[in-house]
Amino acid sequence: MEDADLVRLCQSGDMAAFEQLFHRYQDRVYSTAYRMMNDQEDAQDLTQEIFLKAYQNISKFNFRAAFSTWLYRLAVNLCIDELRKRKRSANTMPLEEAILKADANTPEDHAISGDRERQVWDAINSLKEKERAIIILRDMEGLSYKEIAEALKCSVGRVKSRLHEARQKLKTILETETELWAEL
Amino acid sequence: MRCSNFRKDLSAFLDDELDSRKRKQMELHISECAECRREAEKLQEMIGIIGAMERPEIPAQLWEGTRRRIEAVSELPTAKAPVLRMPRWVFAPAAAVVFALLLYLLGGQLFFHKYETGRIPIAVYVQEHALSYSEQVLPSNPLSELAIAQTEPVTEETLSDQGTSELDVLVEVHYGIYPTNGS
Repeated sequence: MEDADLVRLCQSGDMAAFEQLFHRYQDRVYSTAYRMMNDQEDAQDLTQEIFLKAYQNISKFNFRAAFSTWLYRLAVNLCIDELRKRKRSANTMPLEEAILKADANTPEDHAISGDRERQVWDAINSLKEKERAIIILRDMEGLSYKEIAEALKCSVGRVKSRLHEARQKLKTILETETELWAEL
Repeated sequence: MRCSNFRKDLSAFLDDELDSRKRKQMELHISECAECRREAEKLQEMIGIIGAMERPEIPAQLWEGTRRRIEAVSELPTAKAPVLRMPRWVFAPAAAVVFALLLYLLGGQLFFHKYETGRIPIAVYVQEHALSYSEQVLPSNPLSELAIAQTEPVTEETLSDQGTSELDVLVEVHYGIYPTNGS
């Protein structure tokens, strides 16, 4: 069944239809949340929250964009909101708690193998939230510029310039702080 | 093509998001400029590393946790009737029509009633009154009776010249100043 048909069933209160949509998109939503938050537990918590918000707001879905881009928009917005909230509360977090949280992301937590990938991963995590989001949507999730524009509610031209800036920043980080291209 | 312009569109070029004309310009420049070619290779490699990263494994019970959160929330999505979205420009004239209708219905009682009452000619009122109370037979057409009583033809103009109105005729006939046909 097409997404639009499942959404219409959800809008009439069909929970089974929503479960189908969940299983269809859980990997995309979870991987987006994981890559934004850089933490397994946070990604699990936020994925559930994202789908809860989708369920609560499904009646507002107007079929102008694809359901997938609508879901990506929810995912990105919730992740950015959570990251900003944590930035604000980090200033008041007790020192012991901050140290524990920083140590929680051990290398085993990452689905990353190899030094090159780790260097690139760490560089992505050092980007600002919006820069990280656009890299994830394009280079990891494979969305087109048009789909990204719908998800981020901006023009295709804006996507083009923001993606270019994010990639250039990433490349600069990798050139100055790593030896990624030293042998080349 | 300048190197600065090439690098500005490099991401879109590698993502195949340029139109064919622009794409050909980029391909021509990359074939001619070694430095820009090197930049393109670095960026392509970086994008490739990012794209090759495996998706994380989905935790078990992710749906169960989501379902519990949904059930814990009191509101359930209900089928809503599609909202009729009217363009804003419709509201002002629609409001004006409603206001005018209300004004007519409510104001008519205040303003038009008197006007309706005022439309009833006083002559008709007097005639009706006279018919009710007169002991004599009154003519149905006072002007024609006046014509019988007078030698000159009587019109509304002659009446107005004399300062006489139809009401005056009715009153005089009522009080028997002019004889009726019956007498």
